[in-house]
Amino acid sequence: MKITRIRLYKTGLPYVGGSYGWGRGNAIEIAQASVVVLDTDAGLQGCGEFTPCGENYIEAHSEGVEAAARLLAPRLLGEDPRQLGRIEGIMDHVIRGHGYAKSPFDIACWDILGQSVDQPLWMLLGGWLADGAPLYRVAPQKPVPEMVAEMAAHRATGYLQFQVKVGADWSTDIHRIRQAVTALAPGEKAFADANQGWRVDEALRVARATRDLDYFFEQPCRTYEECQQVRRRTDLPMKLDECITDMEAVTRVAVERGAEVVCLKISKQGGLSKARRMRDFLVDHRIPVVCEDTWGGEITTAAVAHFACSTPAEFLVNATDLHNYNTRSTGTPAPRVEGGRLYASTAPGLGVAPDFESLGAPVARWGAAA
Amino acid sequence: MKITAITVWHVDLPLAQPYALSGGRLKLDGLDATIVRLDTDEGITGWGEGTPWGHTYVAAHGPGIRAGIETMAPAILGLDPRQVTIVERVMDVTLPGHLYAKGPIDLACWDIAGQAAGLSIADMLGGRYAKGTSIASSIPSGTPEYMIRRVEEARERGYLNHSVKIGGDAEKDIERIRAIEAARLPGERILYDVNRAWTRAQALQVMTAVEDLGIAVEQPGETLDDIAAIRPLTRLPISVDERLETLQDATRIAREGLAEIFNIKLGRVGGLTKARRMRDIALAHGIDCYVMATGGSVLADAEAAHLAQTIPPEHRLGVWACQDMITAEIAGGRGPRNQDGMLTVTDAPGLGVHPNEAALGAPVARYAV
Repeated sequence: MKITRIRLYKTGLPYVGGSYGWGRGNAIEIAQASVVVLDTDAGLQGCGEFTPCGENYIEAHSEGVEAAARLLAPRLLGEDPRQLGRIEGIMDHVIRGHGYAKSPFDIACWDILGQSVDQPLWMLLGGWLADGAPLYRVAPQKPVPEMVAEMAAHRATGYLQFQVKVGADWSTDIHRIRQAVTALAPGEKAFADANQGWRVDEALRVARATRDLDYFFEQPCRTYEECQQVRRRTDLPMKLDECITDMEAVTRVAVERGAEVVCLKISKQGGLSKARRMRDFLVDHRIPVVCEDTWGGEITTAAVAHFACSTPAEFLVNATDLHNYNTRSTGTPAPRVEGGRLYASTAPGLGVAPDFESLGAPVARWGAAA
Repeated sequence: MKITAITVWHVDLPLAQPYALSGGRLKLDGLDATIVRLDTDEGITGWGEGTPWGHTYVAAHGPGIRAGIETMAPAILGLDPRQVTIVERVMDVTLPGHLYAKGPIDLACWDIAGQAAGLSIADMLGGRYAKGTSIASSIPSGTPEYMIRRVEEARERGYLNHSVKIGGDAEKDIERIRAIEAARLPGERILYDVNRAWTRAQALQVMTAVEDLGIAVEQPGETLDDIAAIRPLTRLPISVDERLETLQDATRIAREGLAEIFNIKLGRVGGLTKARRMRDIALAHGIDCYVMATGGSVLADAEAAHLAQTIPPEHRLGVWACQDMITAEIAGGRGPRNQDGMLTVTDAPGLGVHPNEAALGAPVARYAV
């Protein structure tokens, strides 16, 4: 089987709640989705998506996908998409780094592999190990009463885990965390995510002022080292996210016991092939994971669902139904969400097809004429 | 003063001879250069260049520079280019990472700042030592005979400083090093550049076998963890190149004693504003430095030569003149050129060299207020 055509689409995904405020002074209104569609000489078509959580969330911007695609696509034409390790090796040889730009290509190849063997991706990723991934819902930065009301509305639709966005003003954040955590019902969980926004001294003050509360302290400061500096002086369980980008960082967490939970985002780790290896390594070391992505529509959420449902339930903290954060779509159908859980499709491959109507005309194409 | 326009050119720079390094993992026959011009409301114009050494040398590629500028441009327009630290922070907030895409903008800002002050970039960076910097040749991997021939050719151009590319096959590397060392002239400096190609075991095998020669080895493993594992087991000096990307890397290397030499590549670390802080860390810890472009024309070489000439001679190991390896000439022979194996910057304000716009072709992008 050979890749005969590669098309790249871009489309804006408006946030369902208007403006999504996070970290130190950031907000998203429209996120830019990039969708890669691969066609093969066997008639199978695969798709993958990368959507950053705003252009400056981490080292990943939407313009970078098209730039990298200009170098990657010509080298992938004619390759067998089912040979995932070979595809990964080619991409890493053509350009170093830029894993976010390679991720949609990698996912599209997984989609084709799954279809070619008539199996859903969760089967190829290890099996149905979590019977539905528990979902969390983000309550972005807003005045505290509005945030608490938003959490209540999400609770009513079945979410049992909530992430509060902090990281701006540390003293307001203390109040925000207290209000959110004390509003939890039994069985619910909360995460306070600073998205790298605090300085170490600020994080320490927040941790000290909230140490009577039961919640997770998430990526308080920018680097792994800064987070460890905080960690040495707080007993709040810590979840690390943005600073865990590659296997080096993952092995470091495992050896140094640097976090209680690691958040794996498919694009941040450089695609499903790499994210899967990191997940398996972390689970082997008994470190629970979050399976998600930076942002995205139905194609991203489909990949997240397969990734999450093939993670052992006791080590799967939660996942995200990212498509429910947007008012426009990248693919169809969306994976099933029910009772606060996300279920991967049982259809072969990803189980989602590009929504070409929403994606519009391709911004670039390589290979056989459309 | 305000930046009013950013103009971007994409220029292909063909290499005079195809080039192999890192055990044949990387092969190049040309470079993808991005040339940037910043215009200001006061009529001063600054130039910058970003030219990765192929797309796989480090996490940097030509289209990625232009994509990065596309993302950053709206935030850069209107800034005062003389306030380089503000420009740096705006770029870092607008586009995390992608340091290589920021280098050309940063250089153009320094060029403007220097012209506005009537000082060369070297003088703006702390002061210029009188004597220029020795150019290291770049000797691609091959048989010992081929490599010695390339060293001799470099010698004929006046070079007494060589960066010799090895890696990939430990036994051949031992043979190469012994042959080249035997042909080395007194006073000649050779750095054996592995470009990450060795495994830890290969590194120890080669470095132990040639320990009697006292050579210096560059980037003998993929990661800083690899180098940390090798460092206590060899007595040879080590230079870090590809994995010296951020100030945090520089600090770790210096504090943990991972290496005795920094190779500061401006295109990789994100330009002069960040590189000068690496220089300061190096000097504070008694670490010697090479300062180089990742590749490119005389503009990129001149940028490196400015920073190099601010480093005290006893800590300054060399620059590179990639211009000698490419067949394109975009600046009409102006700017620092190889003179008896040295690149020297003058007191001309700013970068001291601008390209001929006619040699660049049509711009690929223009952003204006």
